[in-house]
Amino acid sequence: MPRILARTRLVPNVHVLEVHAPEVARACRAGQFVIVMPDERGERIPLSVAGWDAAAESVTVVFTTAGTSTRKLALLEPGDEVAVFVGPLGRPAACGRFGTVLLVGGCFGIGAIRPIAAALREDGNRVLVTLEAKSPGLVFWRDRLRQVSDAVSVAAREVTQGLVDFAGAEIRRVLEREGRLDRVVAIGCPSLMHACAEATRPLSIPTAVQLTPIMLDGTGMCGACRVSVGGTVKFACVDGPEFDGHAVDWEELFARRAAYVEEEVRSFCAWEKERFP
Amino acid sequence: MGRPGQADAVRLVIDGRETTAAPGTSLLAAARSLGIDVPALCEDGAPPSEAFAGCRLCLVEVEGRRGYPPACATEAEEGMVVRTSSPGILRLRRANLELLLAAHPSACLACADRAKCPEEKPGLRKSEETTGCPQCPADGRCRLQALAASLGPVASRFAPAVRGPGVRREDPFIDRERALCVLCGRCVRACSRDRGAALLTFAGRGTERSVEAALDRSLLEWGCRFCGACVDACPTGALAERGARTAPAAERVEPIVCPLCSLGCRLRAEVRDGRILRTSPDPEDPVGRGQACVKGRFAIREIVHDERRLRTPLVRRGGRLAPVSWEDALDAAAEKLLSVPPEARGLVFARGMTLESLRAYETFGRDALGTAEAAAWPALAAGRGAAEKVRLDDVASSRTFLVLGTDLPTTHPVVFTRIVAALRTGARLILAGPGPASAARNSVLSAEVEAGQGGAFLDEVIGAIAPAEPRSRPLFRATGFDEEDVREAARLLADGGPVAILAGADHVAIEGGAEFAGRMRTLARVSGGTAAVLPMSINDLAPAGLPAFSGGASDILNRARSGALRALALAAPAAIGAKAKPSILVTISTHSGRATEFADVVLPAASFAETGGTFVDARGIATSFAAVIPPVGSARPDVEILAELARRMGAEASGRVVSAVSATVAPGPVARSLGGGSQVPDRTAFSWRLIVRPDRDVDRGLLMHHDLPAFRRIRDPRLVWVEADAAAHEGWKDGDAVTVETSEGSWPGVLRLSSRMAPGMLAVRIVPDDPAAAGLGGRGTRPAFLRRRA
Repeated sequence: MPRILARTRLVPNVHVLEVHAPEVARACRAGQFVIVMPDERGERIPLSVAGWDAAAESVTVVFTTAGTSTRKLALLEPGDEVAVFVGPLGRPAACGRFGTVLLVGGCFGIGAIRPIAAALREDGNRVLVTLEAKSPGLVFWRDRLRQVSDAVSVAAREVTQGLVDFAGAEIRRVLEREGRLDRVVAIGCPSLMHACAEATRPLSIPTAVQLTPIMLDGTGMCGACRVSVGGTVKFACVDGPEFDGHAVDWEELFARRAAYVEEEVRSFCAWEKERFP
Repeated sequence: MGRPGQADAVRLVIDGRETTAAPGTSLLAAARSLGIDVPALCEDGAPPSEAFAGCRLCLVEVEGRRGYPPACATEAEEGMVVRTSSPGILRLRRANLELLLAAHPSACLACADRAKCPEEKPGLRKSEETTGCPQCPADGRCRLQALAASLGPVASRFAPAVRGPGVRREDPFIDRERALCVLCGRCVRACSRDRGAALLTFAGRGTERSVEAALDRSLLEWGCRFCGACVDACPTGALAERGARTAPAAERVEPIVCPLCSLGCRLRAEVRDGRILRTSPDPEDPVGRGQACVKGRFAIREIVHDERRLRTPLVRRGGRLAPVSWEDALDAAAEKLLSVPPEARGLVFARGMTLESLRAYETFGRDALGTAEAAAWPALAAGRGAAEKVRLDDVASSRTFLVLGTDLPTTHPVVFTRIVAALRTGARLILAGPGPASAARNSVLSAEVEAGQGGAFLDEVIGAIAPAEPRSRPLFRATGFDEEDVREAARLLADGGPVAILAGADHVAIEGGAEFAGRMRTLARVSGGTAAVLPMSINDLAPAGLPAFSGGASDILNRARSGALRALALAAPAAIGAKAKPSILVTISTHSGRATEFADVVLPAASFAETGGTFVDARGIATSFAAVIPPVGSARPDVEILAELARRMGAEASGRVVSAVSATVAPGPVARSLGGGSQVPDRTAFSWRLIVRPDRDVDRGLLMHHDLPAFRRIRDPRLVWVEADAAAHEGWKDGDAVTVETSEGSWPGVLRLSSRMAPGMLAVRIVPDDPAAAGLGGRGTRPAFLRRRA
């Protein structure tokens, strides 16, 4: 079974996990994800890839603890194993020469935008990065993102204090400073991605988002990850995870993601009772 | 609180309004009595001289004084002119609030999009750590949220400096999250002042300051009893109830009576969507007075919503239990019970049920089953029969407490908190008995007295106080305790004001019953005070509705196991195995358990929270409450089940079951005869002597130590306590796997060394009707072997 090489808590609720997975490391491209099962009793969850090293045969994922499975992952130590670690899955992020690209990352998305930033920069884009968080203390990897971008800024709500349309204000601020933005890529919680998409819609800036619906098999078989994009049904696992943020039916996405919250909470409580009696 | 020479009341002016206050009243209390809301975070009702005055939010102005004194720590004085609000005060309060918020994950208080979170991020309830309000276990109940809302603005000018990292989850029941702590110290004071435990303390300095258990150990390691007082004192989510972390806000709060020990505390049950979210002590409760224990605070929700709750009737078909309709299940149960003659039927039911259910079972046994072999479990043993109504207020006003062989913090938690309150004002606690006692740290004398020697010990103490007092047994050289302890106890009792001598009925039974209770009363008489034999379980003082079956519940169960009784209706915890079961077994149970596995018919019963009803507490007072939630699944109240079952077994009986319930009345004074005598232990052949204490942490079929993982951690039922020196001599260590053998049987356990036991003594707690411990009563000591397992 895939072995854990390292696991570190980066900031509250966010961990980075390095897994020995030679096949994934050899084939991975920016914007793809893996499906992980923390143990044989666990569920399958998709996690965005935040880095890989074919030589070291390792794959890095950054995840937010948001339920039973991620809490299990957060307890892993080097040498432990996970039951399943399959990938790379999904289509790679759209790359090419766009011009000036702003990448917005929040929570685990701060990790997930790193390979995309690297790929876009390699393609000759001017790459700007905004790291979003409630508090400056929840931002991580500033230095790592500086290595693959032209500028990194931090947008923390605790500092901007009570600002309405937080993400929009940040995007407009960057636009004003840069003079032009040819593309925005947002990765993080759906709220952040939705806010970015709504902010760029009136500005007509193409905006890519990486959707995170509930997902089971990750290979297009089960259809659990259905999303509506531009009026047609897409499977986030094989058609995405990257989609046009202006075409996504956000309301449906929020509703579908919340479909099993009570069951998730029950599962979480049962696990917690067992794990922390 | 007046001092000599002081007036009865002082007159002062607060915000232009004249008022009077008793001397010693804080300005905060005086202002609040006028309905003036002065913000405060750390204040917890302490008098001004003991006020913590750490949050600096209740700052006021007093004419003629420099600066802004904290209202909580300033005494109201004659002629004072006080202002609780002015631009200067508000500026300072806001600045202090900003400092608090800078050290708190408070971004959400400033977030304009916060209203979207419940809908867009419902999963935040499952977060590992708290970085904002929706993730916080105190969201909606947080004092800081309320203050930020009332004081505003919420923006902190100071750089965020949140303490961390992470949530400490090594203890059962309680999560500790430093990041949320505002250092108000309310938990520290609740732990020491209200509970006498003093396990929580401030540690570290400056930005690293936090509330911890000493030496950074877990609360469990320090012997925390997990009463939850610290959690209730916490104004934020820094101390949180693990099992309620993900709970949404309550819809309503309902009163409920806790049936998990003899005291019957009234609790507040927070309810939403048919679930109990949490239970907490009711400040108005005359028994607990705002204090609860681990069972009332943390167990009720776990018991009521346990995964093993039975939700649908089951009937055995083709060797397996299959879900059926209520009609089919009741028909099957009636048919099976009727298939054997009345004299071959038995009934055992749990005493911890509501009085209404108890009456229904008694009547059902007599009129529907037609059997004399019906009994409540656990039986009132001779010594337990001696239990009497406890006059809590009399006990609490005593100045010297002698507690005999009973670990009150475990068995009668809120009696102990009343004693702790007395100790704070200089009263003294003496412990005398066998084995480890968690109250030892609160006592001035903790005397080891071997089981069975308690009577002799009391005799000696009586003799030392009143030499002329006739002894109840001939003088002989007593062993099993220290003469020095006798002299010290006598000295403390003789000159310490009113005395309260307390023992649990279980221990009285171990010491021989009536004779021992008599000695307690004699000692109380000669030293000036009261003696009380404390009941051990709820409803112990309920008057019997019917003459109890002489053999008691254990005898009925044994006869059912041996086949002498062919049909058993069971509504109590009992060990029924595949090889030892009656040919017909009908269980009426809230939870699946050891017996339901082998039952022919399983009828799911509603829990006490789902039926409401009446419980009789240790004061002999009956308290009724209404159902707080609907039954889980299709479970039904016992009364309804029995009435339906009785109707099928003979129409007349059904009416009597129902009328028996409606005739349930609040019990008057209860007089019980004392019985029993001492048992002389056989000390031959076996190398150890064993004291057996029954495990009382039971709710109907659910054994808390066995079935609730967190309870296993604090009161492991497998522990075998052994005197430390002797054990060390044998080369034994804490945690060794051992087998205890007696002439009645043997059972496995885990060794726990104690320095507070007499040489050669072993102590165990047995779960009810443990087949491995079959035949072991609670009386005296018995010879035993201790063998280490590989």
